[in-house]
Amino acid sequence: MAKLSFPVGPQHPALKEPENLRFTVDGELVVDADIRIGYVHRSIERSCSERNYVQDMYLCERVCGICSNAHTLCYAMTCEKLADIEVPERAQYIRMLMHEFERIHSHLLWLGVAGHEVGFETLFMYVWRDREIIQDILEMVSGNRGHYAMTTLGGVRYDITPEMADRIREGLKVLRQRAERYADIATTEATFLKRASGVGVASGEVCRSLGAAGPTARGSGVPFDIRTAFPYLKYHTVEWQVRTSELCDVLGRTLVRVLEVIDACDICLQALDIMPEGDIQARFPRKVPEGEAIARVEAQRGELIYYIRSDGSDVPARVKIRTPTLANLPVSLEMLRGGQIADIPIAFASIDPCFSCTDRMVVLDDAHTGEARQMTWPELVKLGRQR
Amino acid sequence: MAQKYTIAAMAMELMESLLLRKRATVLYPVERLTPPERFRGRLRYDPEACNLCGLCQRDCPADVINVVRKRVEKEDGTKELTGHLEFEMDRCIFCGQCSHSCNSNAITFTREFELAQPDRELFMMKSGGPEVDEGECDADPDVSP
Amino acid sequence: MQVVTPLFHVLVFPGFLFLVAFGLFVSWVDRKLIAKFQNRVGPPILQPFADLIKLLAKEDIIPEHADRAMFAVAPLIALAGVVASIIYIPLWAPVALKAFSGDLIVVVYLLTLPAFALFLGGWYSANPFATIGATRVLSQLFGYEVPFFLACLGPAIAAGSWSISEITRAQDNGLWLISAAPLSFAVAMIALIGKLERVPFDIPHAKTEIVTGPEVEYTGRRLAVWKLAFLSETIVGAALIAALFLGGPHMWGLPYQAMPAWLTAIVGMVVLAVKILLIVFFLSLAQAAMARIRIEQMVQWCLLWLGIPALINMGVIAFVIRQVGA
Repeated sequence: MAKLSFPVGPQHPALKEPENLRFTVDGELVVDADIRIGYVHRSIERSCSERNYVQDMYLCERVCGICSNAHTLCYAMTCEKLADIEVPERAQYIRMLMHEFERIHSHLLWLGVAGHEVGFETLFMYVWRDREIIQDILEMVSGNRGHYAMTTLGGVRYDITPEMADRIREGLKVLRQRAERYADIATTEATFLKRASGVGVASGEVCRSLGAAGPTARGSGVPFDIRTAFPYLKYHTVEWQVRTSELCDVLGRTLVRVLEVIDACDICLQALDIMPEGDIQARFPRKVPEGEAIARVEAQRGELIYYIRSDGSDVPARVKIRTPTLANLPVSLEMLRGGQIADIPIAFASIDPCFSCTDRMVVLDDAHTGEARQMTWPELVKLGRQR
Repeated sequence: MAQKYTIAAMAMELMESLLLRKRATVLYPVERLTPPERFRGRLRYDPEACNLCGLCQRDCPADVINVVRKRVEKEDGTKELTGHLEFEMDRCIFCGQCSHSCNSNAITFTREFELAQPDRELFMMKSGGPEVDEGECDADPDVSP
Repeated sequence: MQVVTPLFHVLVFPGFLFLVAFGLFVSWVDRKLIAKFQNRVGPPILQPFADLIKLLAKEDIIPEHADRAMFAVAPLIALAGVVASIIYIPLWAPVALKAFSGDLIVVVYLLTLPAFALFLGGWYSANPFATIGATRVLSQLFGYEVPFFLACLGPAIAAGSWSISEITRAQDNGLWLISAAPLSFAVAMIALIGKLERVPFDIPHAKTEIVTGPEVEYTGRRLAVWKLAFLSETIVGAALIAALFLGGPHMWGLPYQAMPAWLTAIVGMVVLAVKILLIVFFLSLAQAAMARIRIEQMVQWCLLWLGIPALINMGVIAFVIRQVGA
């Protein structure tokens, strides 16, 4: 059969967000893969320089619907570094709890989607059913199922009451059991194994050289986790370990994620017990002193970096966001090449891609010379509101 | 043999769902769940408590709030600052920052979540001040006149 | 009457209308069961019917570069093949509407028509997803067709006939042929999953990979015909397995001698319907319990784990018959 070229996306059932992948296939074998990003660019970084520090918090929260808390956390940490604010102990514990709750919900969401990608609808339904436990906890604590608005500059918005703590413990215990069950399914269910084992292979070396982050790298045996490499919040006060897998395939990444769910439950249960009483928010100045700062957190998908430069006013001069999906895209193409068509969805989904986090835009003046042109803010606004 | 065991285990779990478990979903219009206490639903504005400081307007990320300030001459000849807030609720992202910024507890969020309206105009909460006709507040019965 | 009666048989009962009505019901049972397995609510009973009406009312589009004739005729071939095959399957009595020696082979081949039609329809759709799906249909055909045929031969050899009606009548004494050919029965059931292209063998459709494959360009009426063809194939396939292995309309312990002929027919229909529903229950369970595997895994696994057991079972039956006969 002749070589066939076909697109996946911008609209495709396997993709939850619009992005264009182009494949060249020979029969069922993928010969080449290429990706084109930019379909959901929202110029968030530029918009951040138009709003004050408080407003930017909510804008950054909306970079991603799944890891919104990681974004606000990282943003707040950067601002606090700039303003040299010490966050109260209790607030740090609550931030850590939210961070781990979000990891649980995100990894479970991913596991369900992985089941869907390989046609295992029941796994999808069961995982999402059990994910409701953590969603209820998030809603109870923050008032919302997504975009929690929990983090605020200098601390957190809401406290965790003792009754809430009890309900969280209860929920997490059930969830931990279920997560262990899913670890069993992932390692022993015959049809799932057939689809996950040896699929989307990227060795540890490839991951290192292409700069993969988070569970994608850890699933290939790269033991890198910001939570231990550059400790933040209160991770040093609880017992846990960085999970890695030497399998280097979809199965390895699945295992890392499921084990991280179990770990996150343990971290939360420990944190609830050792959390000190006290304030939950420190005063944060309106105007932030001149300077620049960088903060990094381990979001569910990998390392998330924020850079903020302040010119002394109440509006940041520059906000730069490096999302984990952007780091994982090069290695994802490596996983797709040489695989099968049937493995495209699951192999690509195994990096847990989030495109609206990732999208970057370049405006070309001339497609032939490739010369870039700068767009002004009014132009961007006009483009954004065009219908 | 492990393989056979898991297919059997999966089948057991399926049969358990079929026969024993209650369904996980809720038949929405008939059955309703109550949102938790901290839920951010319909916005409630109390103009009596509001001191018109404008912090909420400054912090609102979606540019929903507009502060209307007026100087009203009293009967004894002194001037007094009055006014109210206007909300363009169709833009609201329900982050709750206004309520967090407010020092006088004038803005709170209720647990009411069914907020859809057929017309964009109905989202405008422009009532609240004595100069505004009460007829305009049908968008939001929660806003006290 | 010579024209009207066959027309009635083909179009109303047991042909098209009956198949569609029963097929829609079975599809509801299937969807509801899967929903219950997955802890969901599931659709109301008229949902499949409403879906059908919706499809019929929709715009019909033929892609610009598609082969118009092949594109249009493929779903009709599929449906015609399935509807024709029900004539030879015993539904209310051990004897089918029409029977001749060798109708088993005809039915088995009529039941492969949907797969071929699907291949043609997909191939001539001029769409890369449809093309990949079409090649997968054919690859998968090699995986399940041989074991399915071998499995059907088991009861045929045991009953000493190539006619489905004869095979069903041979089970009238209460000795269902599943007892003689348990391996063949298991093989036939699994091969039926492949034939109906359901999870774990829904590889040609695979919506997350190739967006329903060969059907991707079909809309409206033509898509409805495809859906009907597969619904009917579910019924016919299940009825065929019931007739070959489970005694067709026969049930133990029923006082057939004491019943008038019309009652026997009704009881026979109900018994067969229950058997079909049981087979569908198995199909739903399999669909809920597994993930979709890859095409090359499917073909390899089927030829190894379906082909060989079917052959063994057939060999044992032939050997026993030879010994007993001698």
